[in-house]
Amino acid sequence: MAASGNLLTFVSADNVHIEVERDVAERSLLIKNMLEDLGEATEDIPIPNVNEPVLRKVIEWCRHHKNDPPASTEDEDSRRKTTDIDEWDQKFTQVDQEMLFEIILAANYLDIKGLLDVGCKTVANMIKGKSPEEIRKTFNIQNDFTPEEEDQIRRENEWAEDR
Amino acid sequence: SLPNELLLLIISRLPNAAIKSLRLTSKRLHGMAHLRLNRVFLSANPDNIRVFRAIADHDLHRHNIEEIIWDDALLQTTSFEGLYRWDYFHGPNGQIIQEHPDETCPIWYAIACRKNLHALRTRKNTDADRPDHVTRALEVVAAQQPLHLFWQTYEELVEKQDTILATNADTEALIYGLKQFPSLKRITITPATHGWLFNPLYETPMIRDFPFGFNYPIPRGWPASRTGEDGPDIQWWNDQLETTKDQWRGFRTVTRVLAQEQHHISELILDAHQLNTGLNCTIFEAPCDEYHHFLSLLRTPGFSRLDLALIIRSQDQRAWPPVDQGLLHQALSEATDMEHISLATTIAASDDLMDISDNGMAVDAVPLQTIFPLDKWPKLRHFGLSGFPVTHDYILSFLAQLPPTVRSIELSFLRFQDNCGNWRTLLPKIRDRLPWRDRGVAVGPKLVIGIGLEFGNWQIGRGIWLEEEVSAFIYGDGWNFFDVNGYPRWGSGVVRDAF
Repeated sequence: MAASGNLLTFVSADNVHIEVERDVAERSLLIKNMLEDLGEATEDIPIPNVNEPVLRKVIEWCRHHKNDPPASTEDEDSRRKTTDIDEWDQKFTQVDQEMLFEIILAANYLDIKGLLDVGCKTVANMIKGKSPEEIRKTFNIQNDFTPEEEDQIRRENEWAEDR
Repeated sequence: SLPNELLLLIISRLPNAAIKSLRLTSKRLHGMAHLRLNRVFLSANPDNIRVFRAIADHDLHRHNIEEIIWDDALLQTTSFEGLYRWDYFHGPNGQIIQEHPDETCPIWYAIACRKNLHALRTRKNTDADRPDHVTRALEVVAAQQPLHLFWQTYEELVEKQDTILATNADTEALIYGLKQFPSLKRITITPATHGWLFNPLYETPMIRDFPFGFNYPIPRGWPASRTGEDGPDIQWWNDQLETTKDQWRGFRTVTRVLAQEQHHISELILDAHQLNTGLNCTIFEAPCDEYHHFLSLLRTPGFSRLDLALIIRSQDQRAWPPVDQGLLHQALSEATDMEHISLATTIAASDDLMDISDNGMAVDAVPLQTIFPLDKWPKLRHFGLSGFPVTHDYILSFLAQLPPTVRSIELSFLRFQDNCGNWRTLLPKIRDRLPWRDRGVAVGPKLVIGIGLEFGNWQIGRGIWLEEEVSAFIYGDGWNFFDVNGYPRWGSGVVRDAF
């Protein structure tokens, strides 16, 4: 199915065709720049790195946020306020870990800054307040340190403030 | 399963506390999650010195250090006793409320601990609960342990402090740091490190090592008054004993070392952090070693930032010493690369507050140009003034002479001389007589105004800060949000606690 009027057609990695409004699709800087280069899109747009369920989630986010103002440049302090996620986005990111990581990868590939921010903040919030062992369990990480190496890192950790 | 660049993006959103845990999970994450470490702490405490030296010896971290923060508040021993005895035993009507319950620790220590807990409750007042309040509440419970346990810890800390003072190990560490930190550009000296109980301004290694719930007399180092107490008093500097001068040991040490050693320090911050304290202003009344060392630093090519806090002397009615002799002006004139200047004093903002902040002394306003040599500062970007007597004319003529390079101005807790008006009448003059509005908000300086809380609610460290409203008034169509008394109308500005 080719693009018609204000509708574009994405083709996911698993070859599923999904129609999407142009203003929604343009939340992706990759798509926006491509459309500007091409002028009018008449062909299907392949999204080779993103499969259908993830692509549908990404489009859902873009549709909800299609009227957002352009993202402002954050300073370092506000970037660290990771709990600052609006309610809709919090519900949106209540997905299993694999899906969350897929959304982050897709947001990065499609260059959707707002979605990438929300994804990173969500993962950061999953890390905050946890012990090393809890983080390992949450993200299925193998501990490959010797006890001596761990001791050394603990000593270095004492050098820094917690802020 | 995420690529490194995305992991780094996530890590950039984490505070150090989480980064510390992440570094301990696996070698891959340890290699990516670097501690955010660009400042180090020094004081007469072995934990602070040990960590300072360890970072100075670390091949990676030492290159990232840009700032040394000198905690200039030595732990006290007995000097509180006389001050607090009456408060401890007597209620507001003079009735005896409690006997000293724990004979295994000195009474002054018990009194100071009790005052801490009282301050903890009163400072929070009606603030909304935040997660740190919950943690603090747990610490309060822990603080109910028998005081002799805390006293033992405190005695050990004082003993360690005495050892450092005897060997000057902190001074030696500073000299070592100047050599080892190639990116070092700023030294901050502050008496406010310990903040308030369970709410320090900086979590130094020493403070992080305190037992949970540790209650101790919060040190200030420099002479300081607390809410409801008389303002700090000072005597003429050159008449003082060395032990008295060493209340400002950090300042004396840092400026002396910088005058003697090679360094690339371009910023000196003396941060009273809105506490009612500062340097003894009579350092600028007559030449002395401290003045010469200070002068030597300001002469350093590229010196670009000075934040100065002064206690104003209250013995006489003369023009205040820094102006009287012109030594401060002379020193500031040497810093021809100055970009950021800020001066705070202990002069009260209103008559209501005079008795509790500056011993009721009236200090006359002076033309600001007699202190600040604007003609020597063509690169100035920020000007700050706090706790200072002014008139409309003095302020306006000074602001008019600021170089066009100035991007931000902070005027806080100003004391308007009798009959000269207040912020309500000054703000329209700033808008209409200065060329800022014509330059437009993008180019004109940003003005921030700080006002103390009303007398009944006044607390050290708290104030109302106005920024957006000021900008809207000067550059846009905003209304004058000050009432006839020069106080912000309800809903204007943001109340902030400096701690």
